[in-house]
This record gives sequence, structure tokens and C-alpha cells, in this order.
Amino acid sequence: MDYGKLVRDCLKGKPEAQRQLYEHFAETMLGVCYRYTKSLKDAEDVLQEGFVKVFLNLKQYRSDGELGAWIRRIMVTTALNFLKRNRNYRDQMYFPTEYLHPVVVDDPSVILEAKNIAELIRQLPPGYQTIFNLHAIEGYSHVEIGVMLGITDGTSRSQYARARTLLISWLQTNSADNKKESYAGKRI
Amino acid sequence: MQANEFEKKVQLLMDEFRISPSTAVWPEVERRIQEKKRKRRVLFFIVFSSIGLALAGYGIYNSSHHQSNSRSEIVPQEKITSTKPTPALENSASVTDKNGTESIAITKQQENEIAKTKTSIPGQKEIIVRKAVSRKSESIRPIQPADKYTDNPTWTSAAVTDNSLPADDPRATVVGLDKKTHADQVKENISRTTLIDSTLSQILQSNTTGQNQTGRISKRLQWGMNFSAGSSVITNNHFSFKNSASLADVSYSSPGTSSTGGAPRLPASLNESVFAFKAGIAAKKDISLRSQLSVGLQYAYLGDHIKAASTSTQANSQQGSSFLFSSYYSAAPQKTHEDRFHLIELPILYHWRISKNDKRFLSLNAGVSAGYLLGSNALVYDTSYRGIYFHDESLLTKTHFNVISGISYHLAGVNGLEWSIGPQISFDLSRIIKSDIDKRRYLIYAGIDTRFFFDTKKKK
Repeated sequence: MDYGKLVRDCLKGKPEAQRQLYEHFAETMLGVCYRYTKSLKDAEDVLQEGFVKVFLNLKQYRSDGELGAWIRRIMVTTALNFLKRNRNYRDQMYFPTEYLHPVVVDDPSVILEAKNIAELIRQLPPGYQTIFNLHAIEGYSHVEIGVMLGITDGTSRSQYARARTLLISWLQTNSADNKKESYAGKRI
Repeated sequence: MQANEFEKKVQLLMDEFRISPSTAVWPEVERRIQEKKRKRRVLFFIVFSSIGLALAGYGIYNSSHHQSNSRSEIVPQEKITSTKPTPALENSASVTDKNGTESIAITKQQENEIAKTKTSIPGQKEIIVRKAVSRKSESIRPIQPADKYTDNPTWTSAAVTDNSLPADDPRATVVGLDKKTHADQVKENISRTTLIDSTLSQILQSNTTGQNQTGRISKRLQWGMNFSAGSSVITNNHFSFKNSASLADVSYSSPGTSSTGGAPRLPASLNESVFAFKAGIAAKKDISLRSQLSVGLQYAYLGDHIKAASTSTQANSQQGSSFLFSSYYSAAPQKTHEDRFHLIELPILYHWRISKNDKRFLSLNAGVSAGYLLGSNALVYDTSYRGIYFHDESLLTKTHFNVISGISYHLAGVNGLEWSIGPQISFDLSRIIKSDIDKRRYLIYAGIDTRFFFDTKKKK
């Protein structure tokens, strides 16, 4: 697909080009949004808001960059803003730093499947979920995550370690119900 | 599984993870795009139309001023009668018609001299009657025959009778109405000056109230005060509402790039809006039936929020000899810092009344202001020391020019005051921070502006 032409057509305000761009990236981007939220409805809200930003700011896209990466970046920041705005997420975002400490667990030898992993990530507490997504999948450093979320890089590291440990333990037991209860004895 | 291999596998799997969105998403996206574009268009329309109105108003004000100075004529020139020409008319052509009636033809220059004829009213102030010349093309025209029965040696500007006054009222006969005038001539004069009556009545009325012949446009300068409260932020572009927080969503930043090559650099903080206010005095003047011009002098408190380290560090004099600061804050987002700007501003605003009602009405406001930065505690971002904020007055622009636009609701005659309230937006045209590294550039202010002007007429 010629992204340059597609972007130019979108900038001219052609509805069919906008529709084409949306359809090309919607599924991938909903996958991104889905990992940051707790429900498909919330994910679709983020997707919708993200695409509005994409179309309104498309003139800022420089053709030397990859369009998919640019849109993905917008989706991630939109998702983070959504989490900050939404009280359900914001109130249970982080645990106090003093209760956290880095943990090391051997990596599991488990068969990973995309759907399973995505569902397990979504079952993490919101703070763990966000930091795991940003570091393990998007590739942001802990310093960058600290800046993005307004926390120290130490907190980001600790929470990531806890999230990783929890996720691996869930994968090892491979039972969704057990996984939920293994986290602080609470269902999420 | 090796260290980081778990992350790599998860990353690969998640890159392939896709979900189909419901069909309701796209129509909603489409609707919101159109809505936002429409809002942008409306905003630009308001801003530019306000500027256009301001310019048009200025033009009208200038031209009307020019015209009022150049055009003047005595009201009832058709009524100028005399048996003796004044020196101004000594050179006039005397014309005798078939009936033997003598008429005097006057030139344009003579018309102007007549226009300045003063009329005395018993018990009233001396006034000069003026009227716009409508027949510019005429250079010579005949005037009415001389009144044979009039012995008054002076030129009378008009034979005007105010019918609204009793006959014995000395004001009933006004402006040179000769008591010896023949009855028929008087009747004729009355019929021909019906229109003049109302005009002169207005003039007489305005002479006592300080208003001119329209009865609405005040010549007085009204003094008042203004106060505005709202929020301000520093934006990246002219006429933009986007702070760096909103720009960050669409800016390029590949994950992990900052960690290459040693310790990562701390990026500039996202800035956010902060409470701001303006207060001062203003004077306004009517320039037409529907427009006013106001000038003011006000103090402005503007700023924005950033996040920086909670404690400052002393700059190393050897390492930082080229720097103009003695201490700096790390760009680590630990504590909210409020950048404050104290300015003195001189706004000039044009107000255009939308509705006909002149007591309660809406007006469009537009204008410009010049400002001077009195002081600031603003921190400027720099990439030195892996990302820092520091204070340096030399990096802040002192002189500022703003474009102002707004709409306000006016309420006149309340406790002897004229109130107005409404939203106002001010865009800075000058860069507040001169650094190329710090992307914050233009101050924008949006707030609710309240003004009240003292009604001097009420006091009288």
C-alpha cells in the first residue's frame, strides 16, 4: 500500500481515503488499545479517540517515518491519557513503592499464544499492566516510562518486575482462575 | 528461556495480535472529525471576522471624523432671506426673474461662510447649526426672494418655529424668526421647516445632555475598570490551543532511543495551563451608533505549569562557564513548578454591538495589545546536564504584541454603571521563550472578561 498517497488523499479530506486508512490499521490498533484497558468497550473508546487525533494531526506526519509506528504511538499515548482520566483505572494504578521490591523468577518454558498473553496482561492490575505494555511490548525504557506516567524510574522497574513475575506464574499454572487469585488473594 | 527472551516472544506475539472493531466505531470517528473541523472553522471565523470588524471600525471612525470636519452647512439654506447682502455675499450674482422678484445666486464658498452663521437663542447657549451638504455638484443656485417686509439688517439662518412650545414661550420663536415677518411668509416658512423642527429640537436637547445630533452617540469619554480571570498556557504555534501535553500524543518519539549512549536524557516536561488574570483601567468612546473604541492599561498575570526536580543544583562554574545561570533543576518530573509572567499591557479594543437594543446587548470585541514583561520566574529547558530547567531572564522576550478577540454581554444603566461580561481570548504574537530547545513559544490566555464603566450622565 502506498502510504504517502493515502496520507495525501486523507489530507485533502477524501472520505474514502480516510476510511481506507482506518480499515487498514483498525484491527492492529485495537489490539494495542485492548492490552491497556479492561474491557473491549474501553478499548474501542480509546481507538476512536486515537483515530480522531490521527486524522486531525495527519499533517504532522512526516513521510520518512513509518505510518503504522506513528499511529501506534498516538494510540499508546491516548490510552495512557484515558487511564489517567478514568477514575476506575486511576485509583488502582500504582502500589506504594515501599511495598515493592525487584524479584527474579526463572523464565517459564511455556507455549505462548497471542490471545492468552493478551488476556493475561489485561488481568494484571492497571499499574502493572501499563508498565508491562510500555516496557516489554512497546520497548520504552524505565526512565521514559517514569516521565510518561509521572513516576520514578525505580517505581517503574519494581512494578515491571512484579508484573513479569505474576505473568510468568500465571502462565506456568495456565489457569485463569488460579492466576487471578494468586495476585494478592483478590479477584480483579 | 533466556533473559529477555520472554519479552521478545511476548512482543512478537502482541505485534500479530489483532481484534476487529465493531461497526459503530468508524461512523463515530467520522462524526467527531467533522465536528472538530467545524469547531476550528468557527473559531477561525470568529477571530478573523473580529479582526476585520476592528479594521473596518477603525476605517469608519477615520472617515467619519474626516467628513465631519470638511462638511458643514447651515440647516435651512433654502430660507436665507435678506434685503441686504452681507459682505460674504457682496460678490453674489443678483438675478431678477420675470415677476421682478430679486434672487441672489450664491457660490459654494459663500455657502460655507453662511454655514458658520451663529444663532442666538433666548435663555439658551449659543450654538452653531450644522448640516451636511447634499448638493455638492451645485456651484451656483438661486435662493428665495428677499422678504420685503423684513427690516432685520442681519442674515437669519432660519425661520424656525418650535410647535411643541407655547406661543408665549420665548423659545417658540427661534433663530432669527423676525417678528415683522408677514403672516403668509411665516406660514410658508412653517410648512417648509417642519422637518427642521425635529432636527433642531434634537440639537437643543443634545446641547443640554452633551450628546450630538443623533442623540445616541456620546462624545464623552467613559472611564471604567476591567477584570478578567481564566487560564493561560504557552503553546508551540501561533493561534493554537495545543500545549506540549497535547502535542506529545502526535510527536515522534521512538521508544528506547533515549537510553542509547550512556545515561538517558530527561525530556522537557509537558506543560499545562494555569490560573491567570488581568486587571486594569479602561476608557471608551462611541465612534458610531453601534461601535465603540476602548483603550486600557492593565496588569496581566500569566503562566503555565511544568514538572521539574524539587531541589535546585548549583551549576559548576568551570563546566558551565558559558551558562547564564547559577543553579538549575533537573528535568526529572518530581514537583510541579509554576512559571509566572507579570506583564503590563495596553489593549485597544473595538466593540461592535450586534443587537439593536442599546441597553442590553451582545457585542463582538476585537483588538490588539502591546505588553511589556515586568518580571518572571519562568524556567527554560535545556539539554545540558542530561536535561535541566534553569531561570534566565535574557531568554524571555520583554515586548509583546497580542491579538484579542471575544464576545460580551452588556447591561447599561445599572446603578449608574455600564456592565459587560463575556469570554475573551488573547493570542501572543511574540515568542515568550527565545530558546530553540524549549518548544514552548507563545502565551495564550482565555478567560471571562468583566468590565464596568461609570455613567457620567447619571451623575449629572
